[in-house]
Amino acid sequence: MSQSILIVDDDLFLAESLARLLKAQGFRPRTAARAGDALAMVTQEPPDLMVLDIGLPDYDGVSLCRQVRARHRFPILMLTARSEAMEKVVGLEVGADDYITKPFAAQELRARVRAHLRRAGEYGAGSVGRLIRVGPIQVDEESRRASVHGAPLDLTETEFRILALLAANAGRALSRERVFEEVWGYEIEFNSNSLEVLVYRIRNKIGRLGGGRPITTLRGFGYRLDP
Amino acid sequence: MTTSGSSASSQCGSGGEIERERHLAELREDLERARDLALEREKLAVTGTLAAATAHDIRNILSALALDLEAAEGSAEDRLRAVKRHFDRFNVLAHRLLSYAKPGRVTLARMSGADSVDRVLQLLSGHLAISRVVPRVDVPRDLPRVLADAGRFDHLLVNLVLNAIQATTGGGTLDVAARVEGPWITVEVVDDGPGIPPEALARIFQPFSSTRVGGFGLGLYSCREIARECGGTVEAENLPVRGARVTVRIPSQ
Repeated sequence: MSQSILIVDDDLFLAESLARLLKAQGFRPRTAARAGDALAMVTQEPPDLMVLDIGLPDYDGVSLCRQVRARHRFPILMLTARSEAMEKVVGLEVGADDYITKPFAAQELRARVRAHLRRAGEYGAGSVGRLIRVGPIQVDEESRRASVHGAPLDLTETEFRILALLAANAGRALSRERVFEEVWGYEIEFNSNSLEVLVYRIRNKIGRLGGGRPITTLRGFGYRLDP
Repeated sequence: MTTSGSSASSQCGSGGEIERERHLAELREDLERARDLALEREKLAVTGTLAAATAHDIRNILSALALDLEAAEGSAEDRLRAVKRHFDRFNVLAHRLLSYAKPGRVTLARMSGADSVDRVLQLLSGHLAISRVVPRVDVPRDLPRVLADAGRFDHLLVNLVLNAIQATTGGGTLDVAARVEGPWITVEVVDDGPGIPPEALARIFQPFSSTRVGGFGLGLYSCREIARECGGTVEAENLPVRGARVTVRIPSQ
């Protein structure tokens, strides 16, 4: 069965064009113009990926993203009409996996949708994962669970991927480019602060569970997870 | 001494009066400057909001256009049709923006209201189709001409019909009717949406009073201004069960 993609956008023309493009790529698109309808559709049949516009008529995409993320781990690709960094940061803060700024090209959207679905699929049911321990942190790639001192870490899919990558390379310096490539599967704007935001979130979550600050930022290069 | 004292006091009083006057004049100037500055800032804020909303619309249209142009499936004819729909959206956006602008000169001339309804419904056919709104038109071909600025009258109708489409969420019908009422030509646009919230009805033609989240609140205001330009009126009312009706009255030729 083809993978389903929920498009949430109040611009009916854009939603229809997105749906047409994704259908032509073999996906099964559904559309919702309002956050309330989108929530109902997610509850009824969670999609494999959600494309979400940040501005919606009944309530904003950020709140919807937060609500969906509280219950689901499928990738969320946020559409933003503005290029302000703040909007992107907020999107990632509330659990979106990626963002794309309008106007965008079909090729860019296709690449990102595929990359996220592939990543999600790689870690989906049936994949063989490892159990990695780094100090108090434990990352179970098979069950997609992470913990600190045995207490579960509540991570989004993208946050989990970043932590798993750092844990698998514990003690080694990883460049930002490598993290982007491994986690997102393509090179997004390297000057974007999406990675910083996600690492900041992971750090906070680890810190709240008494795990200290094991992720070191290597200025001008990348990150390292220390045992 | 008394006289001299009195004179000194009078001079003092006069000097104090002059000083007070000067002080008051300075205060008035400060107040005017502050008011001008506040007005300037307000204008800039409104311009900024309008510019941002317009840029948002343009980017959405460009994104959809880019997707349709690159879509692999569909015949060349299908793609051209899709592209035309996006061009129509740019045209609709231009109508909306121009309707907000105060024209330098309004040229009233005899024009056909029926032709204007045709043009506007054709232009908005993509919006109607995608919103699953079925238009029903009751405009006699022999409707007497009205005295109006044709371009501005189109702006007015674009705003009215677009408003009705947006009110009809989830599909429905939209009626456009025109008839002669004494010295007037009356054009009615009726939607079958949830109606106008009662608390908003009184100020619906005021600027920046949109009932729609994200709406700019200038559409119906500009409709009223355009109707006034040609000596007409516009009013809105809720229907008994469901929906709303906006009625425009323009003097016939």
